[in-house]
Amino acid sequence: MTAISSWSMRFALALSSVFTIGAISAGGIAYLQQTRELSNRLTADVRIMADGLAHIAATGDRQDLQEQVQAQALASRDGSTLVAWIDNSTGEVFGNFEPSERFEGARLLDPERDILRMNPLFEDMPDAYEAFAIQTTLGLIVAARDTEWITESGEILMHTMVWAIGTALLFSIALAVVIARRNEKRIQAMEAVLTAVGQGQLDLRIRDTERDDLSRLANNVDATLDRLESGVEAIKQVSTDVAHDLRAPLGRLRLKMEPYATDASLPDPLRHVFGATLADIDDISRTFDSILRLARLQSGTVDLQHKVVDLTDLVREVFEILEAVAEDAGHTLQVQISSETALLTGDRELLSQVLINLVDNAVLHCPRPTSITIGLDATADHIILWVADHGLGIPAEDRIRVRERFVRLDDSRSKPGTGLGLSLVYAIAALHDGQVSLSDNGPGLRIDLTFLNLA
Amino acid sequence: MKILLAEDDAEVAQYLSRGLSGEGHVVDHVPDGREALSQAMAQAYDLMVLDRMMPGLDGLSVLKSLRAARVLTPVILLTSMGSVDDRVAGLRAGADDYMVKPFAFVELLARIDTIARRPTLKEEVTSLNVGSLHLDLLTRRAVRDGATIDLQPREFLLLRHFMERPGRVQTRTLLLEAVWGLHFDPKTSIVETHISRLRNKIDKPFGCQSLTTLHGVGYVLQP
Repeated sequence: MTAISSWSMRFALALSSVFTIGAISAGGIAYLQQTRELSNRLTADVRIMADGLAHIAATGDRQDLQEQVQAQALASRDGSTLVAWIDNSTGEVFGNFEPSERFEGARLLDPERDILRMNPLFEDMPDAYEAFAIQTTLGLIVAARDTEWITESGEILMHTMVWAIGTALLFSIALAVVIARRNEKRIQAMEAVLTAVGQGQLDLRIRDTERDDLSRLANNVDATLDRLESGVEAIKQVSTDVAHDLRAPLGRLRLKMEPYATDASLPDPLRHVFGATLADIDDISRTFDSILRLARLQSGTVDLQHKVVDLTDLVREVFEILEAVAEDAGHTLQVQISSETALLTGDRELLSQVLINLVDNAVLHCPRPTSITIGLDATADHIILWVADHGLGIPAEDRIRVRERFVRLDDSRSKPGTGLGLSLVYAIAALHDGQVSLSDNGPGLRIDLTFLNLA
Repeated sequence: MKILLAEDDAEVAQYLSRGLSGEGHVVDHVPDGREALSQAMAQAYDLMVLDRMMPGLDGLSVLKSLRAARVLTPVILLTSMGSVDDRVAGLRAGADDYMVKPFAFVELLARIDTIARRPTLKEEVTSLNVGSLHLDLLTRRAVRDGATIDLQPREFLLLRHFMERPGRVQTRTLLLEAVWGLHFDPKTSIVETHISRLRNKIDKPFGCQSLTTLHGVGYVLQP
């Protein structure tokens, strides 16, 4: 099936069929023209013969005419040539046959129908005779020749053509298939490289060594991949450098400040100031971590732990972790799992982070009390992990915007958070080939993460 | 404990040395990876604290060389790289624990405690006592002043963690790891919620304040 679905193979087969149709049409036309030409010649031939005898008849010499007719009849013992003179004074018939009907001019004779008798009787009766008849003063003169050799030469032409077309067709199909296979292999090689690069093997290249349009495309793709790889490398390097340059002073600052936050000899208010500063340092480093993490997730430069994760376990675990948090915030958290198992290959920690993130968003942003549900549905093709609440929801026009970094809708600015959460959800879902969709839960928000069910 | 500290940042090294000495540990400080390796091969230490990014030889390479040479001294890696796969790489190379800068000094102490306590864990401990609070590890119930306190599973794990470390400050990060097994920051109030629930069970009804908050630092169960 893959052979037919590739354009080069289809192109090859189409070309071969066009060639075949063309060759057969040309052969047919040649056959018709040859047959017509040969039959014209035959008609001319028998006419000349009849004319010759008519000339003798014009002299009025009965004796001579009879001798000539008999001589020509004798010359053709194989029945390929017929000649007859029907004497109009006696009604006697000379020659080697008698037509069943008197006629003048050219006519095609069928031996079964149009010939009364033949002398001698030939064993292999031809299918048809091309005849010409002339009325003279001495009587009717008819000359005829069989059409066998027209049929035969037609057959020879047909045979030659069938062999020629057949051989050419085989060669053209073979050639087309070989060319198509080669192109197909090259395209498959490109596909394989692009897929692997998409999965993070950034150093792979196509390296097509031919010199044609396909290799130009391959070289262009390679050049683009070079730029992509160096870009990703740069991101990695910058994030490592920035991480070090930012974390080191923060680390020193924290270590310097910490003894004062734990020093029992200091008055409480002063100690709390130090504590609050430590909390701010931690906030800065957390936000910074999130940005770096998001950048690495979005650029695909993380080593994912590819393991089989049972999402039913994951959902129950996240429920257990967050039930108390939701309750203390005045909400209720529920689980709705509609399938016994839902297996997904991926990174358990990232997946649970996604789910915790979504539930926590609902807990933070819904006016209390609301009921929040973590759900899991599995069909033969898809696994859907969802979180739904009955809060204020997100207006349809904002649903695209919230996935962008640092976007926070106006009414959530006063709440804690960095605005990175949903971007993180989108990035992690994408790493698992998942789709994120936001919809109206009437009222509230429902977020579906749809993954392919490969179990 | 005798601790080898390999850290290229002089200021950080000074704070850590001073802090650890203050806790009664003996600290040898080396400023780069090569010295760390030769020092660790030459002397026996109870613990090594290795910075991951050092001039010369980085912490991860030092660790790999030590493990290859069958030096099995416990190692805590300090790093400025905080992503999950960096942590996994560190643990795979043979680190016993992993800390991301900026970190709390009390968290380093707590992790050192955990490593130091390891051998004694083999003993069958069936109950813990801190002050008037008693925790039965088999029935998973707490008792204070004769009153039995029922605990939810995570509350039990949390209380056990504190009662195994009375008077020691526990940071949020430590608790997330030890009680919930989360090695990333979920940015929710899980810890705060459970601490507050636990207080409502073990402190409030008895009019005491044993589980206290150190602002910006962590929580501590007073002995």
